[in-house]
Amino acid sequence: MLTLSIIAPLLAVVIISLLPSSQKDKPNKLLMYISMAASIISMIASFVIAGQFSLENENFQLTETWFLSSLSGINWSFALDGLSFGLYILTAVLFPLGIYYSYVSLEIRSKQNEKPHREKLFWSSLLILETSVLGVFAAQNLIVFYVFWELMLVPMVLLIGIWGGKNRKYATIKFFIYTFGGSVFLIFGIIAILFFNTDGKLSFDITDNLIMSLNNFPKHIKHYLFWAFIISFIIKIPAFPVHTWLPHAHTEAPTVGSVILAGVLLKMGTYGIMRFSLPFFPMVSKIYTNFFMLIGVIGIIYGAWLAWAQTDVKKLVAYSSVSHMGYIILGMFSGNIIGLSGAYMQMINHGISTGLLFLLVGIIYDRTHTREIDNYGGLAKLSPVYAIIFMIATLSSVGLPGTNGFVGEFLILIGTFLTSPIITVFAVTGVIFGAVYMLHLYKQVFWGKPSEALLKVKEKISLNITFKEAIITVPFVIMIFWLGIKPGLLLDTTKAVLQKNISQSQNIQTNMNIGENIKAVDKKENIEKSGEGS
Amino acid sequence: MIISEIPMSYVLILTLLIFSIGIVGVLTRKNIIVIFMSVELMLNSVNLLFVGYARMWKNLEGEMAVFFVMAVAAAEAAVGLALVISIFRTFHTVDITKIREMKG
Amino acid sequence: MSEALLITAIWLPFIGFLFNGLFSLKKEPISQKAVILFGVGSVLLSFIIFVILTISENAIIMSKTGLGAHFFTWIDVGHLKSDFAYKLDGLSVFMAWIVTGIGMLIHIYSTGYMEEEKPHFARFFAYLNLFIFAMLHLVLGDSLPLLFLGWEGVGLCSYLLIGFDYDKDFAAEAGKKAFITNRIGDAGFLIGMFLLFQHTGTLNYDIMNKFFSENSLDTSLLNLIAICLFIGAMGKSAQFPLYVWLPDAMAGPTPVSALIHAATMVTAGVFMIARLAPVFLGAPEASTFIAFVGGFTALLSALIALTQTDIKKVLAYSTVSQLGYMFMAMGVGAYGAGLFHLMTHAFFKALLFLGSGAVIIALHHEQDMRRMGGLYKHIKLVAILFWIAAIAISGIPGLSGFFSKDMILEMAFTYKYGGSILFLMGFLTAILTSFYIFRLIFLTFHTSGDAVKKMKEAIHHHHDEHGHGHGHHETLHPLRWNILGPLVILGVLSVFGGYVGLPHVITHQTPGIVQYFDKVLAVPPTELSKSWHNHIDGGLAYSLMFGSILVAFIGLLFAWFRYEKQNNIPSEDSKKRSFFVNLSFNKFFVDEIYEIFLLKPIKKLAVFSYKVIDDKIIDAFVDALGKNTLKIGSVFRKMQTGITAHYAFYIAAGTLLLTVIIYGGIK
Repeated sequence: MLTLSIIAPLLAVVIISLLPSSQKDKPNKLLMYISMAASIISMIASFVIAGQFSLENENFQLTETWFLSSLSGINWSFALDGLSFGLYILTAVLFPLGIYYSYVSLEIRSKQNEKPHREKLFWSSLLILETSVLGVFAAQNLIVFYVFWELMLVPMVLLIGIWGGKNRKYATIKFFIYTFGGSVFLIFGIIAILFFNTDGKLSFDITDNLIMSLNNFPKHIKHYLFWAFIISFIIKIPAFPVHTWLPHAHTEAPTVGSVILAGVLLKMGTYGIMRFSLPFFPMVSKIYTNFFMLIGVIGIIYGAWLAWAQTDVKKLVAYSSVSHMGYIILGMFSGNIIGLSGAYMQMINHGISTGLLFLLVGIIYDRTHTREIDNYGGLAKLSPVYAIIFMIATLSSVGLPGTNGFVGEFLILIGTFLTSPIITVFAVTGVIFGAVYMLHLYKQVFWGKPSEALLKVKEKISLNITFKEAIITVPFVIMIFWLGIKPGLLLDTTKAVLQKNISQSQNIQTNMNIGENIKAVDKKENIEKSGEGS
Repeated sequence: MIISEIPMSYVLILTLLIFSIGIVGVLTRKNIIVIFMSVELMLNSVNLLFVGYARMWKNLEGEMAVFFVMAVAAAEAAVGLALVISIFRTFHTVDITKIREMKG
Repeated sequence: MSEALLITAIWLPFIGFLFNGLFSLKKEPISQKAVILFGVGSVLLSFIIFVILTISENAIIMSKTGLGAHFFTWIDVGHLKSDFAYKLDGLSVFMAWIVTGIGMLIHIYSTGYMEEEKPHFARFFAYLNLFIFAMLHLVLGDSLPLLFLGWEGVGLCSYLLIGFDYDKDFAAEAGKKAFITNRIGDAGFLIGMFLLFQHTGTLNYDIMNKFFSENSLDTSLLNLIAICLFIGAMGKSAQFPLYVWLPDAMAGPTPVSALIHAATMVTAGVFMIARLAPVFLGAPEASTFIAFVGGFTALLSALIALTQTDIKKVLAYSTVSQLGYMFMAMGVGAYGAGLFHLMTHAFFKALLFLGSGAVIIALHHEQDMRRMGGLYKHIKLVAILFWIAAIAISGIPGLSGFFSKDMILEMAFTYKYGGSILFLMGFLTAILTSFYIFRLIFLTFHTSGDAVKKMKEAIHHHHDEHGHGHGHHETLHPLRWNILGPLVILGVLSVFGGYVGLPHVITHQTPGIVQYFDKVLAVPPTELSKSWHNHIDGGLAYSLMFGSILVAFIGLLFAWFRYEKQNNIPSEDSKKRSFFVNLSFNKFFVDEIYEIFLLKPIKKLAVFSYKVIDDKIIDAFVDALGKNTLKIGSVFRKMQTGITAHYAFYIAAGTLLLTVIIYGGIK
């Protein structure tokens, strides 16, 4: 099932490539049907997996092995655990929606005499993207992980570079070089693990054994490896000083690209930290905890400020991503289960709320062809249903209780507070600024009198969203409230594995501390004091 | 002087000389066919070296390698000449200083 | 059974919200009857259930833990646990009555007030129902996260309802301002909550109360927690310096001002302090701070209310001022008195707002008091009810406000730390209150002006501008039973609501309502109420009481003299105002100060961060990295001559070099 859901999109690509290419004025329905079918198969398969997933199991489960190689250590097998489960399902759900939206968008644009171009490549790119993202979350071998991680770059670069906005070339190159530059460190780290592994066995599998042997590495090597991994991940997230590719990529990407980028691609970075950096290097990450928390907090406030200063709707949402990802970084380094659960929850939340926001921006952009906030105004009167859905997305984004955003933010902040109150106090101001920029956007776009630009557009095409478009947003809205009221749905899946990771890290720290200086012992006591066990 | 008494140094010097002629040929000649011949010359010098050492260590592996090299060289010559013809057809010259498609 | 009833009562308004929300999406407005059925019916039913529960489960409700009802699990991570679970105890049942009772009255009133807004009728009731739902979570939740859910939920409803006429710029701006100002408070509240969780390990009231009865935390820590929580209350309950949103919130429809911005939501801060009494009781310094902030807010906003000309603005500042009284009471530890005033204030302020709404609707949406006057002749019933409410708020004996306000002043006077200053602030506020409220009455209902004539003039003027008006408003809009009914009920409550707390000097026992709260609050009877007898001897109590009665009459007389006798209608020309009047009229320029010293610099910093730091420094650095790589590449590019011989030479030279290095290395 797992393999099926990963390769179904890839099979569809094969079928699409065999079809004759045709250049018509109208979007090709057949291509959409094939892509939809593939992504829906993939989604249904993931739901079947969800049914078999055991909440108590803290290890990889539902393993499907295809190819074992003791020679290279690259074992092709797929499996999920609590860390990847939620993200996997989110990805599988997000893609059909994104694909269907793309078709609806093409239809609306063709009504305005915009011809679709290079359709076969477009759908293929989306499907390859799906396979690669699903592969990243299901991989349980470092090299397999890396292969999918890099594979993701290709369709994404195509999506931005071919179907992007005016400034797409610059954005594409920036996106590519940034992420590729990060990946170099990642592959370096992965290979170095093998190089230093004195275990004797040649394997890149992510197992507890690997974690144990990693901790016998010399101290300075561990530091280097930690940085090699984390640099790649924080670029992908992106965290504060390396975030500048994000606004460009988001703004220039076609809507579906932005949705997927915000929805799942950014999560690959945070997922990487949770999957590799923290459990692999508990001692080193403990040392740099404050540093990364600081990065997180700066990201929260700085991202929010910059979002406030934007005049471009998409850029505003893009910078809000920087702010939200700051929360996730903060939660991940809190070191206790509350903060980590919150960080995980926030990953999913951000995928839903920001994904929805980009989708909504795209829906209106298909009609107005402008992203300048000043061109909007009074949209609530012209398109009431759209305004309501946008309001829901806004509320989720600002973390209003009852929506998913609150649970994530609340858990992160409370978890972080137990570790480091001062940093949390600064982080809490993000709650204020979040409201400032989102409500500023909402007021400018939806309230007030209808703007002239919009009235002009209205003469040509109805601003009311169509039934099809509304249907696409429904799953998002359901997820927003469902997770807001029953967050246990998600939190229970991660509980076991997070608990395991935390206790494993603590064991390692305790073992390391024996014979080392007394200071380290004090630190460990602090961890216990900060409320993990009680 | 019987053949078994030829010192190894003679062999080495001879191969070095042939190899150097080959290198100089590759570096200085303009005609692509002459360059090609020079490459063959270098290959043969290496073959000679193989044989020389094989005799010195009383080991047949070196002589075996020579057969490989000769076989590969023959194949290479075939492919190489085909390439030369193809190049000539495209550029109407075999002067490699005229063919500068890779100039950066 | 009673658990299920309790949950039903809380979720009923939500069902109303869902239905009305869906109705509002329809293109053709749905029949108002259906909206009323769900909108008003759900709240009415909810109120009835609370009444039934109060009667049938009285013993359980009055016990320490109250009636608990677990609905479903919400957050459960590590040792953090918070469920959708409710707690109906003495304090929350008191609030639930006010919320659903007054809420119901205002729902009924709204059916009349919003009658003409056909396309937005369903939307309005959807928001109101959602508000009741959120407010019930705020007061009935059994843990702080659930309180916070309600806390932010009512904030959302307030935001949506203030911006109800979203196409008007000032309404949109006011809504945003309300939400953001509240968020500032909420940030403080969150930190307070985190501190509590860190040190008590729980956010559930019952477990927390148990913790506080067995352990005690450091006083300075409790002070910090109390201040943080109070920052939240500052936002929600409009205390200095975060009160600025409430007057602007009057952009919302008048029933909203009555329900949310007078009777219920803004008192959430007072409720929160009562709910977390163990924390605030252990924090004497913070409590004193709260009392002084309350007193200062009361005085400041009463000063501003003196000169406002918009009828709703006067009432808004009056609300801020009365909330200041409540916080003064909470600060000095007189929780009973604070909650007593919360109740009486809910009655008379709701009446005042609804009454002003009746005036506004009768005059076809005229809010400026300078264009009113003489309305007594036309709408006698409203005028009489207005008089009742005014007498109640000004503290003239016999009506509800007198008892509660007097109790607060008495308690403030006996407070250990700066009691006399607090009393003085409250006392001054009392004079001002009496003056501004009677000023409002005289300007609206009496004086020689004639609102009807002015209205006609304004409409003619309007006609000249637009050519066509919305029908001819030659006469007052008729007021039907659904507007007058709730007013009468509130009038009765404003008259008799105070008799649950007859002062000690008359009955020679602790006032009934104080006894009630001493019993139900999660703290041992406070020092103050324990030593009720020691602090106030009869003579002093009487003199305090007579003092406040006297000032109430002074205010009344002065207002009468200035506005009725001298017919001194405030001028629209700012040059004619004296310096102090101008200061008060412009709200002490607090909004402008915030604008210049807070908002603009932060916005500028944001733009600076974007344009300079992000674009010119960070991103420029990244771009420079790329550009320089290209530059270096262009240097090495020259090596690519395209002549094969050159490449062969590099290879040969490289091989030679390597050989030399390796050979040299071996040697």
